[in-house]
Amino acid sequence: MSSNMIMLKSSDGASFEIEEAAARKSKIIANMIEVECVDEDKAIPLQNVTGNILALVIEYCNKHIVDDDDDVATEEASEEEEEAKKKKVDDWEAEFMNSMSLETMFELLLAANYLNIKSLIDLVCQTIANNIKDKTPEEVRKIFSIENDFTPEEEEEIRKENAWAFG
Amino acid sequence: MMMSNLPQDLVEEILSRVPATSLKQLRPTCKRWNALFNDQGFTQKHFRKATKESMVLMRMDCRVCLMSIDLNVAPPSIEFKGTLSLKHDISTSKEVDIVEFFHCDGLLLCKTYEYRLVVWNPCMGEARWIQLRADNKNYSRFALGYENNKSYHSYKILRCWGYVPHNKVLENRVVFGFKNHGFEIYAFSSDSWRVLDDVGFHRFLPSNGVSVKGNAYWIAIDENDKHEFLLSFDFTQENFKRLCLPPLLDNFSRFRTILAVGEEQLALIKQSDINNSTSKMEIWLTNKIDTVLQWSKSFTVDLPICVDHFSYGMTFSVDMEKKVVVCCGKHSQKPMYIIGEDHRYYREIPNGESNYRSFLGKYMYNYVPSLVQIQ
Repeated sequence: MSSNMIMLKSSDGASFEIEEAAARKSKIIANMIEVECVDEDKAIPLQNVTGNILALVIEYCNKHIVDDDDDVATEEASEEEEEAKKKKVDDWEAEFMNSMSLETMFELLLAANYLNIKSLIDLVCQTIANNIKDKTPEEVRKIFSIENDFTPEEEEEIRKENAWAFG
Repeated sequence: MMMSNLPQDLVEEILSRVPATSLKQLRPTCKRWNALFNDQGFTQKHFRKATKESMVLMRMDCRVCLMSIDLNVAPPSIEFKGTLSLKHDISTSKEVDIVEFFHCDGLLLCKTYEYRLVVWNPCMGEARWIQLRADNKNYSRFALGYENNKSYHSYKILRCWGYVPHNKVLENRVVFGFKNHGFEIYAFSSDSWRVLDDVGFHRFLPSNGVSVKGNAYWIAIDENDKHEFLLSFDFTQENFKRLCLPPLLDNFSRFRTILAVGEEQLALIKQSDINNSTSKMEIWLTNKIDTVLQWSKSFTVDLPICVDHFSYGMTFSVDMEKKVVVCCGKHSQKPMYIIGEDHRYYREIPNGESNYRSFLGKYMYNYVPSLVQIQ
């Protein structure tokens, strides 16, 4: 594997060195590399991503590039090995997300969206969804700073229609 | 950073992963979220992405009950969460009596006691009554499915009708002796019925079909050799196909029930009595159903009863991951059983709550709620 390194620069001026193969997880960066608008001596500026979030993105990409390599090396791996490997990745992802506040998750999601890293968008959305799952509308409004734009009558009407139709 | 600052497409990405019954509770959050429930693009996306919630529905006489089975406690628990209520219309409080139902994508196609037909999404509280042709001397059986169109599900209803000879008792499995039966299909898109001429099957439809990927499946019996086979109706091509079942190696075994597992697989329960007090059930599973159908045995459970003594109309629910079968006899006084591989999870639940009219008995179904709209 080529170990070309490239530089990424966050909106607040922090620079990160990352393997090209890992950076290619981002379709945006992969595109830049394809059309050769990456100057080897210069860092790629990412104006929408702060340093602390970019560090998380890079941690995710580094982890997953290793997994992709494993895929090639163990093409004929048995089903059990595949499963064990998948479980390892799942565990890592759970741990990775577990350490984050909701606010960080939103920022990470915006960054993943900007950089176009589909698997990271999926992971963050699923984690936020699990977080919302058992909450009430009041709790959700508070956590996500959503304004209730219903009148009390409208809200009551929706709640009435809303219950599983138990008789 | 607030969620309300996220672009709408990312909000939808998140919400489409929240399970249906939970997301429904969040409907009153704000207007933007509430509006998503009427957005077909969103509800279809939700159907593809959200974690599926496995539930069990039980038809007890003419009512549909929601049950929650918890295998994570010892002994496993069964709780009746309540009866799902469907009214004839807004102006009346009279509940609909449901005599048969078939489900697909979280939608229940119900035949009522008054011989009316309704498609109902109990999670969304939406119902649409389907006009039947005025030929109510015929007995009918229905199935719900959809045309396999890549971008959305175009729902259709298959109707099999037949004239019931006088005094003929309707049995629960395969009804023999229907005269002049035929098939017709209803498309939601055109809101009309159309007679199907040559569908490749010339019998009355068996009961207890299941839906996988928009097509319907039943266990049927060959008229000539009396052997069972897997019957499927393809709602895209509008014809029947005959598929294989696992081999029956003896005369003592029977296929009991076909079940849908997840979105792409079928499971089958093969049962044989070992002696007067024990029977054995093998649970077979297919591969993903879009290729050539193959069966493999998944697990076996031993039930400490002779199933044939009460198996008439017995229904099942299966947890493939935990390798557990839940069985329920049709008659209200019969107990329910939860039983797993190697006798794990075993529980017999005597039927205490038989305060309902014992007319049609009990019927159990695996069910996954959805936010799918009835177009």
